Amino acid sequence: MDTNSSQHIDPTPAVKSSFSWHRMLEIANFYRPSCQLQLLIYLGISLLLGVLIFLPAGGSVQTALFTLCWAIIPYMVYFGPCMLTRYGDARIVERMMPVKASERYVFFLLYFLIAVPLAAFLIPELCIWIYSKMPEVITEEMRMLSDMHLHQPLMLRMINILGCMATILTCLYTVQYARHNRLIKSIAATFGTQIGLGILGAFYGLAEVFKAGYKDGMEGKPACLDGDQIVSNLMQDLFNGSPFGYTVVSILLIFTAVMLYLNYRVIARRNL
Amino acid sequence: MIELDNIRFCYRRKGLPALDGVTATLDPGIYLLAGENGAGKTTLLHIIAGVARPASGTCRIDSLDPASDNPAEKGNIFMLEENMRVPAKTIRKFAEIHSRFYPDFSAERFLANLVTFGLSGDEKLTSLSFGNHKKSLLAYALALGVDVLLLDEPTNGLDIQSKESLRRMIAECTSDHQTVIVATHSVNELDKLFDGAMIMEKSHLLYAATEDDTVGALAFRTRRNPAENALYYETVPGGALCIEPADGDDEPTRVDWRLLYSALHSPRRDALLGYLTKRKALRTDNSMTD
Repeated sequence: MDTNSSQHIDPTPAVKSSFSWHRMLEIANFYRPSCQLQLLIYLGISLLLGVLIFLPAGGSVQTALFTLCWAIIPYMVYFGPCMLTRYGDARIVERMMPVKASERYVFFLLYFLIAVPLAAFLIPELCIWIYSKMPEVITEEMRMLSDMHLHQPLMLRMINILGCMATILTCLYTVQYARHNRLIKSIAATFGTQIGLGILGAFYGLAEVFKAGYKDGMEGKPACLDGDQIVSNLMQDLFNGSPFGYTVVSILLIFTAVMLYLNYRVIARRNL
Repeated sequence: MIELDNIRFCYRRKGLPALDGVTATLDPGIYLLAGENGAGKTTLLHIIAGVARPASGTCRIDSLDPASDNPAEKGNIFMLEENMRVPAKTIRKFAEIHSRFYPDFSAERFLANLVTFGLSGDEKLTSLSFGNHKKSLLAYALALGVDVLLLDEPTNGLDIQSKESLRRMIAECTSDHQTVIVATHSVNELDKLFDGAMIMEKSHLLYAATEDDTVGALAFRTRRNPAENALYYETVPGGALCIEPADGDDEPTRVDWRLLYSALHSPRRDALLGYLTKRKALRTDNSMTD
């Protein structure tokens, strides 16, 4: 068999080897059936949850629904990358796609870190905002919850966003990395990250309350600060930032950066 | 041209190698990749497809690394796995979203392949039998027009008629510049298709040659009694299937890949490989003298 590749005339135009937004849109098109379904389900659930907290049940039921809503929605977002396991083991098809790793990566980041959270959070956030504008229909407790949610301290908001990103990226990494049982492993990794973040949050909270003057009370000494003062100090730290808060944000930033790198590496390596 | 140079691959860092010292050069054509279960056939295909990286050694397709991040390079290779799932409900839907990445994809060829297999392409892939699911994917893969097409166990689950259709289809869909590697245990069912073969055993590549090179060195004959110089023979009713040293004066025989595979997995292997090595050295010397 002699090689006659020199005689073969390739009729196709040269394929661009640098990053191509067109190819990235083709990737979006490739995942479109699964993405469409996921976004529709997420919008449906978030609409339902948004409406639920509007139910004029009042009192504790409304508070419980509000809490439930804000417990479910973040997990919907965390588990977003599980969509990639929808068709079982189609990994080789994805890995062989003639696209650049950076194009797949950018698509995943845009979809899982922006589109999915938007689909999940937008309607409930909007509902809460509308809700807060209707003081006559809500209880005092609910008004406080809405206010706290809408006017979160910057430090807390940063921690929430970074924690959310880190969890999504962990789930995405596990889905990409695992050879078998991708769904179960990614769910386990997501819960694992949440537990880790919970422990970090607990340390942060503990450090803050100790710093705020709670320590004396714990040790049975007469508190040098009264309860209102402690709460006021805590809130001040949350709004203005504190060394503990910055430490937590730094840890989350490093973790998120590492996960961003690991995700790119697993996509670029294309290993099955 | 596919060039494999001393490839070693391990799934675990300290585990046994799935591939060890694999070296071969493949010109365009249709190749059989045979070997017992766990010999490393699929791993080798993964390396050629660029979805696994060798621990050492290199794989090059037209001098380029298939594992590189170059879309043009990736667009020239496609591997159809044995139990491959695709992210679409029907094969037509999959072709719509996936063929955009392959500029040489032929929709006409795809539809013709589907018709040959008795499928419309609108059947739900999840409701298809294993065999029909496989046919849908084969119809698509053979229409992609890629330079390197890797088929892992394409005949598994196919009925007798479909295997014959597949043999014809592979032959029809493969142009002169394409390389198709078919990893299969069904050597007889795809007989007459192959331009060459790679035969593996326990992570090693025992034999890699074209049909021309093989018939230049070996003769495959059916005799009543095996000749004295037979390198290997198998008794069959009424005689013996023999592999003998090819005599330059004789008419070249047709390669019996199944017989060669059996010979290479028999106690006569070392004698056969020793003869082939000597023959190759002799031919190299002769060509240098010429």
